[in-house]
Amino acid sequence: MQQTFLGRDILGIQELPKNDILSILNQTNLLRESPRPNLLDGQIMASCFFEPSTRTRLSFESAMHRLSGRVIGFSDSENTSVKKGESLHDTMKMVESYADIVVLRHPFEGAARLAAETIQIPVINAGDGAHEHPTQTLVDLYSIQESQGRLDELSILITGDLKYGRTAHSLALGLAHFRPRLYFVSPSAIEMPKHILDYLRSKSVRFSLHPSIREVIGKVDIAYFTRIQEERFEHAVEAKEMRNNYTLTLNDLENVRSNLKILHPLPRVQEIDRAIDASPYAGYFKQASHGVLIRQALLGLILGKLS
Amino acid sequence: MTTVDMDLKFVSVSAICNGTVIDHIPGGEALTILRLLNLNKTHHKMLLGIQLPSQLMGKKDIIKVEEWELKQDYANPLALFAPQATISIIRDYKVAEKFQVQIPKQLIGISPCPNKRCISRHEPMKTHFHIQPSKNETMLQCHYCDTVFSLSLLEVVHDSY
Repeated sequence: MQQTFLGRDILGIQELPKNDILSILNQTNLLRESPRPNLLDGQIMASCFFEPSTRTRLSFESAMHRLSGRVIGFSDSENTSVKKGESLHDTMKMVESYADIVVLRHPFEGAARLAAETIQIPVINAGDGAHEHPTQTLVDLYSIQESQGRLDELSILITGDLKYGRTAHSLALGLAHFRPRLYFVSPSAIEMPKHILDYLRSKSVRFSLHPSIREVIGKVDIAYFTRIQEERFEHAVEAKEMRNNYTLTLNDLENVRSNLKILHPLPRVQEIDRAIDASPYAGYFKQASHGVLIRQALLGLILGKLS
Repeated sequence: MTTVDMDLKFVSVSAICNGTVIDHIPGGEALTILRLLNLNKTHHKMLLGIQLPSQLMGKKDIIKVEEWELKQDYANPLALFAPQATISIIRDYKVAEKFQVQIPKQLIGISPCPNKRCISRHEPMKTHFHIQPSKNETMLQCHYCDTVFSLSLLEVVHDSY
């Protein structure tokens, strides 16, 4: 009985113990096998997106609709009272009386925690600046488990914008429960932050840092790419160098493991050559399709309709 | 004795009738302590001794505030800047209470978060840090954005919320 999810806020992946992550993934499998189209009938989700998002917002809204729940909200702050100077605190206080659960995307870090402390109804963090995006990590973990048949003791390459990319940070933290071997590939200027590496050391996770994908692509079960977020670079030259040096092509896949799956939270820019899309190694579009199922399971659990 | 020496002697021993004496502040930190306790924005009568000779510390600062009593919980943030500070509560010219400060677990509403993208920099709200004491360097972690930073980056400016 997983009653502990009822009414709970989901703010960061580190707040989810291993058993909770496994429960969510298990519920996702159960919903996949036996859909529950009326599960959230009568429930309302407030979809509060203070900055643009395609996949996350649509997958949350689709998840709610597929379970017969209703959705209110906004997809950017331009047409809301925020434009008139309303604080996040006041916006949340208003939304609290209109809905049963809030899904929040916000450009500033820590916004989801502030929202959760402001209102009584549960808050799911759908991304707060470069800080946390826990439901994307759940999608990533589900995709890894689905493609490899397990989560434990896998070799995983994580590459791209490791300094600023919140999905890379959260995935590394989430994987720490499952005794992985991690390979971080990036230029030294944008490598994984020290506090993440310190955390992994404290959990006895084996990892190493590499300057090139080619060094390690043959050793891994999962290659996880993240978008190069050019808006976070101070110099355009750095971003261009990153684009040129860290793009995966079909030639790079000649000597890889047969079970390799390439994942990417999307949108991609140039990290993965489109010629790879048709190869058996491409897992990123299937990964995106898992977003709705994971969010269905999470909404069902938090709203007390799944146990 | 020169005039300056006489003044210094006067400041260091001048007694107060009722109030608080904060002693053993590291030399030069008195103004930080005033800001930390928000005393720079009050109308209390105060005596400040700065860079006074001290056998224990070499140089020390001292603050005497009249008609104001500092409570232990409110005093503990002082430990971040003046770990050896002693607080004496004076009533009728006598020391009625004396205590030392302890590093608190949290610091609320004292300093802005150094992360410019932290929600606390953009909302009318109190900042909130968790303190991680260490032998080498005390670190603070923002309750909201999780940014970890060293005490040297703490800028003492009270939130107005």
